[in-house]
Amino acid sequence: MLDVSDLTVAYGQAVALDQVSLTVPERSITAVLGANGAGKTTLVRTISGLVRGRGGSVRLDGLDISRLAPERVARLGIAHVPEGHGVVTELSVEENLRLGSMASRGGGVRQALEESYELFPRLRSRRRLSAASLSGGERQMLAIARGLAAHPRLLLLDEPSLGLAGQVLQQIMSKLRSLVADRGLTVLLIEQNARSALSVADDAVVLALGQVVAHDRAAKLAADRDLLGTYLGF
Amino acid sequence: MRKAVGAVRQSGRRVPVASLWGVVGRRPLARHGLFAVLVAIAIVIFSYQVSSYTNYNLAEVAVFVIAAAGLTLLTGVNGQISLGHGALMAVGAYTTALLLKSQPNLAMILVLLTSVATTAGAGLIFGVAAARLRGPYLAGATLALALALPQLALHFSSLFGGEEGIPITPPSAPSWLGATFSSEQWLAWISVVAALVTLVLLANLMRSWVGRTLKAVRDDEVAALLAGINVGRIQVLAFVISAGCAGLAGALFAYWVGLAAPAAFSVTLSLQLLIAIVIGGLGSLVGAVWGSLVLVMVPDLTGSLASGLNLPSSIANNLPLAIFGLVLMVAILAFPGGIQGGLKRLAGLGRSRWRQHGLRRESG
Amino acid sequence: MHTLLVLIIEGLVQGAIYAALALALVLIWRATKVINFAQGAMAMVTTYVALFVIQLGLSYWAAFAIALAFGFLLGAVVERVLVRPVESASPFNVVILTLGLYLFLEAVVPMIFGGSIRSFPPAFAITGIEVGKVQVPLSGFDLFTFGSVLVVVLLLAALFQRTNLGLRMRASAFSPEVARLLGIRVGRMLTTGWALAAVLGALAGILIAPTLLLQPTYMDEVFIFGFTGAIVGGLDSPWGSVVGGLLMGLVLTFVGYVSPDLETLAGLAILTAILMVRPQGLFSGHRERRV
Ligand SMILES: Nc1ncnc2c1ncn2[C@@H]1O[C@H](COP(=O)(O)OP(=O)(O)O)[C@@H](O)[C@H]1O
Ligand SMILES: [Mg+2]
Repeated sequence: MLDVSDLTVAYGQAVALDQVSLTVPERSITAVLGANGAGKTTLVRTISGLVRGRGGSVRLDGLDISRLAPERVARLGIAHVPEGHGVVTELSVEENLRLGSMASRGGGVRQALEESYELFPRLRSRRRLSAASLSGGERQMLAIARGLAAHPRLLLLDEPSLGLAGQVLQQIMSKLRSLVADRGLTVLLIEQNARSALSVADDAVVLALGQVVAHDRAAKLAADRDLLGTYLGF
Repeated sequence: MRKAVGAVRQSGRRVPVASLWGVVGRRPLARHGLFAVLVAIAIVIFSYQVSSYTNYNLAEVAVFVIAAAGLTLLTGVNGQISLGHGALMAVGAYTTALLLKSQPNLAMILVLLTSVATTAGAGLIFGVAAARLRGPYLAGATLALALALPQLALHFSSLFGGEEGIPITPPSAPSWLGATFSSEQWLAWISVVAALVTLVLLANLMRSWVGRTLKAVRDDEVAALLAGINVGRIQVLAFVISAGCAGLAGALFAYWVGLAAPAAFSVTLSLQLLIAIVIGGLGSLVGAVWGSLVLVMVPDLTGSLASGLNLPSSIANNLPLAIFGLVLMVAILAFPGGIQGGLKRLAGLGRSRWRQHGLRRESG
Repeated sequence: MHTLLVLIIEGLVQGAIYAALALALVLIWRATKVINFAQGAMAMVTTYVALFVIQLGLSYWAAFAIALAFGFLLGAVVERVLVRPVESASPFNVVILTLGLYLFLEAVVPMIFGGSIRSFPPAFAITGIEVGKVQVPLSGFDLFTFGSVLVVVLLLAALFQRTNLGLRMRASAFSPEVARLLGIRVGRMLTTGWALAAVLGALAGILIAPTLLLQPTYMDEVFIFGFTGAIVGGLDSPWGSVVGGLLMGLVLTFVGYVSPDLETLAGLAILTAILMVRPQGLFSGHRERRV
């Protein structure tokens, strides 16, 4: 569904992604792993149009989206939950969710809100509060819920585990799995925490210093102790 | 070890050929000073070639350069906006006027220095009061200063002469310059010398630790605080120095107009100064010079253009300002780094072209 | 007692004008972090347009509507053509740009409409309303001035708080990058913000014109007091700016009554005093940075 090929991104002179190629099959979860500074965030920001690549292409179902503005990419059904949640703290919880649902292709606002509160009941009781009053974990929940409220085809999650308790994370991951199965959702999951990501993902890509060093079934990579030891610090 | 020996030998070889430039080139104060002397000589020669009207304009440019250079330190280097420098110039002008009223024969240099001191004092008070203000809040407070100070002159009219202001006799040229030497040319000389001295002092200040600290505060206040810089004090210091320059400019301005009156120090003057430093190239003293030239030359040129076109008065009177506004907008859109920024870019472009050209020839 | 009432009414009506301009500045500040120094001049232009329409023989209300619509357009064009290209440049550049626009507009208008002072009609009588046999110090035009600012402010509040468009605009102002990720055309939202602000300015311009009389510089003072009001209230707070504007109106009216030539001075002294205590205005949500 998503094809990244030979993608090169640089900040000034510093090359952050060097001819990165990967594919994300439809109805699957693909994990992108790598140490801090490997280029994971740069990858998703380039996919969603926030960063311009210097070369290569990003295709969504064959359509080259690498030159599109982020708002156009979003309206093609790609939802990006940015690193560090990206909740708008000046707005209320419900307003954040409504913003997410506005990008939705089908399904009303009310339905989207209901789904969000079902997924994270904690948000329902806080829906009138300012998002600034939420804890770190709650903000992460809100950000993920907001991403899902858009009913995206492709969900880009940048380190969702940050600030979330293990239990909540488990719950979110199983919800994602069911969305993949029921609604045909596709997920690109960025993680530094390889163990939990590999357990939920179908495929995995390992980035190191801006280059793809492995791209295979998640189960296979999870068994490759050498690889994990070298690049992911196991 | 070998490296060290090489260095010694190299520097040893340099000493015998140490020309005047060799000594001067390495000391900023001396280098800037030498350059200023050369410019002064050029301008003195120039001032003999042109009409007294041009000398009059020359003095005006010099006055603007002094004030704009001071504002460059505050706004460009330290990042504090001021919409009230016109008011600080008024402090300098009124100091001069009042001083001359009580002591008509006081040496001009003393008058100027007193004006600098008083205005720096005013800058100190204002700088302390505004030390916690940032961005638009500082803009608002300084704008208030620009509006309020001329009002004070009106309110205490017995002291400040109200709307009419206080007249000043322009300085007359010393007799050894000859009987035909115009007072415009004399004032132009004085103003240009004052401007050059100001520029040299500020250029050296900007290269010293003061300049680096001012920039550090502008670039990242929090980081500067963490590095142990007393941000409040350095910001007040910038205000004081900048106000001192405004005081000098105001004093010369008063001599130039022959009057210290509130109308001359309107908000427009403050805005003009800000415009000058941004159009010239924010943060650069050379930019302040460019900006002052633009400020004086563009309205002058468009004014003579408009009056030459035989237009109805409602159009002719407003055309210069309309063109000035338009030039301002277009210039900012075309040259975000101001004139100095644009020139640097051009120079860089030329240099890389040159280099490419050279390479191609070498390889060819 | 009577005098006090007169002063309060006059202050609130004046204040409503300043509040409209202050709110316009705050809308733009929140959207693009720019102080629009041409806000007053733009309002001057729209009022001249209104006068032109009236002189064509159309009614006051047609002129009123056209002026506001023209303001909307002008605001949008200014944002698109002038402000957008320097979005990422130094804030000083944007300041100079709006100053350039201010100078340009104040020079071009007299070239088109002539520079002489013109009178501008009020919408309603400017003499006090009679209740029974007593004339109260409140004219129909006062009521209209205060009322129309109130209505527009409330409409804007409803737009921002209750509609999807308002939500998108707020998100774009607070967090442009996140807004774009949510599919919002941030540029369009910012343009709308500028356009709405210019409508508010146009309203202020048309309401104060009968009192101040029309000339190219007539909005300068209004702009400065509106700006002061916005700063007193806190640039991040729309309600703060409205309160700040009303406060400016009251203070200036009272000081003007006591000593006319101290009006400006006192207003600005108060501004400085308030800023010394609260460097970010009275109602700014952001707490002062403490490091
Ligand atoms: N805005 C930026 N400007 C300059 N360099 C950046 C920027 N963002 C990221 N980088 C650099 O790009 C590399 C990849 O960063 P990033 O994509 O954030 O990695 P990750 O998300 O895997 O930790 C790092 O070396 C980082 O320093
Ligand atoms: Mg990252």
